[in-house]
Amino acid sequence: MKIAVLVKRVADSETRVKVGGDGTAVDPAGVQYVINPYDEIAVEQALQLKAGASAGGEVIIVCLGPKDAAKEVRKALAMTADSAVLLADEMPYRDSYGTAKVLADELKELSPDLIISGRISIDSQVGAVAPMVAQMLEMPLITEVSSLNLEGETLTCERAFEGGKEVVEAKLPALVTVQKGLVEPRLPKLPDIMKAKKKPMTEKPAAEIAPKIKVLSMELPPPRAGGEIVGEGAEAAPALVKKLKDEAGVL
Amino acid sequence: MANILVFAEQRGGKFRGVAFEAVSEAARLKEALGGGEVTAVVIGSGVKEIAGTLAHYGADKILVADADFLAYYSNVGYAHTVANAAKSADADVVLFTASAMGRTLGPAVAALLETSIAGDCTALEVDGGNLVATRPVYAGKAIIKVGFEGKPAVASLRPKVFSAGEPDTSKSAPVEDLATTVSGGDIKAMVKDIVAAAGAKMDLTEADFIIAGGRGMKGPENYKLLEEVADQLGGVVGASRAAVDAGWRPQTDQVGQTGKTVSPQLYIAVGISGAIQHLAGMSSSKVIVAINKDPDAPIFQVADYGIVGDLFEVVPVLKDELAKVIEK
Ligand SMILES: Cc1cc2nc3c(=O)[nH]c(=O)nc-3n(C[C@H](O)[C@H](O)[C@H](O)COP(=O)(O)OP(=O)(O)OC[C@H]3O[C@@H](n4cnc5c(N)ncnc54)[C@H](O)[C@@H]3O)c2cc1C
Ligand SMILES: Nc1ncnc2c1ncn2[C@@H]1O[C@H](COP(=O)(O)O)[C@@H](O)[C@H]1O
Repeated sequence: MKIAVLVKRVADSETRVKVGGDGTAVDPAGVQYVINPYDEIAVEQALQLKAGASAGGEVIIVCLGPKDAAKEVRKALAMTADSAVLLADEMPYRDSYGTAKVLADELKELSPDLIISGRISIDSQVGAVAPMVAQMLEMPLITEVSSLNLEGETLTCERAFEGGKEVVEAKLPALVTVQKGLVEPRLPKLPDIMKAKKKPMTEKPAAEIAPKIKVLSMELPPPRAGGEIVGEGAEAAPALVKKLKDEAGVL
Repeated sequence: MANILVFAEQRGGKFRGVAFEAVSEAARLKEALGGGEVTAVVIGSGVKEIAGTLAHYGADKILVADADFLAYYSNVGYAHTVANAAKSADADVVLFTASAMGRTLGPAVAALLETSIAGDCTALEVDGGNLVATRPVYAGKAIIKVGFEGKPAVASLRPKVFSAGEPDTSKSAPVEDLATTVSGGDIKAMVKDIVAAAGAKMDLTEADFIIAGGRGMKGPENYKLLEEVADQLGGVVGASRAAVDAGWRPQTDQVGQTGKTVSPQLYIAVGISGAIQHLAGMSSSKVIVAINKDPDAPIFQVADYGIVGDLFEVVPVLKDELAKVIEK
């Protein structure tokens, strides 16, 4: 079984955001990069499926990003994925559509049995790439799965919605996106980090696609004007309730 | 002038609140764009009877795809149907809600229309005749404004941020059948079963009132205290990641960057320090209250009102005080 995992390099969630030069993007100075946390879950799920597959399998990391993203791709290989494709991006900005198009074209060539991706990336926060890829490849799609079971060619997943959970079934080849809690991503072991350095990583230039969405401006959010300490301890509760009722008008 | 297509989400033959929010926003946007037509799309099984209510929120026309195989969401069934409706309505703008359904449907429709999507927007405005969408990125540490190239502009709205207008029951609109080009046999990922949430409480993203507990709650048994307050106010209980990772609360309760994004009228954070990843999920709440024993906890910097104190002393009194106000 061939499993492709979509891995994106993102700014660490502790990053102090500063708006950069042209006012539409984050200033990259001092930013620490990591694998998108959901994508680590996706890699782990792929590795567990491979381990459980009687016929064996192969886990391929697919990443679109700057050349420097090779570092994060190596981290995914150190989790014991088999090989990687880095689609080296020269474009300063790419929207979800352009990202999905490049990934879909590569995936068409790889023709995996299963594609696993994160639910959303923690920097751009769109959650659009995977559904777009599935649509471009006309593949069955199950998003935000909290449990996954593969039997033969049949995939059965649970996903939460407002008010409950749905059980969704699809036949391979398919694409799933993972929710937190599905599996716990492993920490790479030192010998695997060493081995990862020699694992095959193919670098290819990524096609340029004109963006359909343009960032006009980026700003830091206005600080919430708040910070009134009503009081200390239980004695402050009546005053709080009064404020919520009379001042804030939310009761 | 602009034609706006808006997907009105229903489940089990009932519109969800977000459907009214989206249609109301479409109507508001139509005015801002100098007139045009708001077309609402309803997809499901046995939904024709309810479709007309969308006129009360400003739909000029309602298209309904009603078939047994559309009873549950499927990308094949829904995305192609909405994309075809967008083409036949000559839509300039296509709107979704960033709900569990819309987060999957919106991008799939955008892909079929060969364009991108501005997801989880917190504001839409018209600037020089062009649509501009506002959306938080980097866990809310930055806010971007985006513009759209070409047609249509596709966006999804963050639940509860856009308000549903007062329904005007005197309004009506034509309800027409929407032909689907797909059939049940085409569906590739099929919903086999629906399991209602235990207790069938409202979802966090739909609640007007949330009281969330963090590591300060000390254990799962103490959440009963929060449940009681929530029940009193007709709200629900949320949690920080620390509480979820400790196994005290289910993943579906988690608020934050790797949990849910909520925008209630009132959010009370109890024993939550206010890490940036938690704030990512709740800083668009209307009013924030923090109860924490540490006066330096970062949560106080975003809270409108705070009480410094032991939650096990404060919350029971708060509950009694709220009861007095609510009874009246
Ligand atoms: C990639 C990534 C994603 C993340 N995503 C999320 C997310 O989605 N949501 C999320 O919440 N976190 C998330 N986190 C974790 C986040 O960084 C914090 O670790 C977490 O929010 C802390 O939870 P807490 O506030 O409950 O616990 P703590 O930070 O331990 O705070 C507990 C608070 O309780 C107070 N307290 C203790 N006892 C009492 C008492 N008796 N009375 C009153 N106050 C008391 C303490 O003063 C303290 O402020 C993420 C982290 C990473 C790296
Ligand atoms: N540049 C990229 N390279 C590889 N995978 C990506 C890329 N962008 C997004 N993805 C995948 O799509 C998911 C959702 O991303 P997004 O739509 O950007 O929120 C991520 O968790 C990744 O699995």
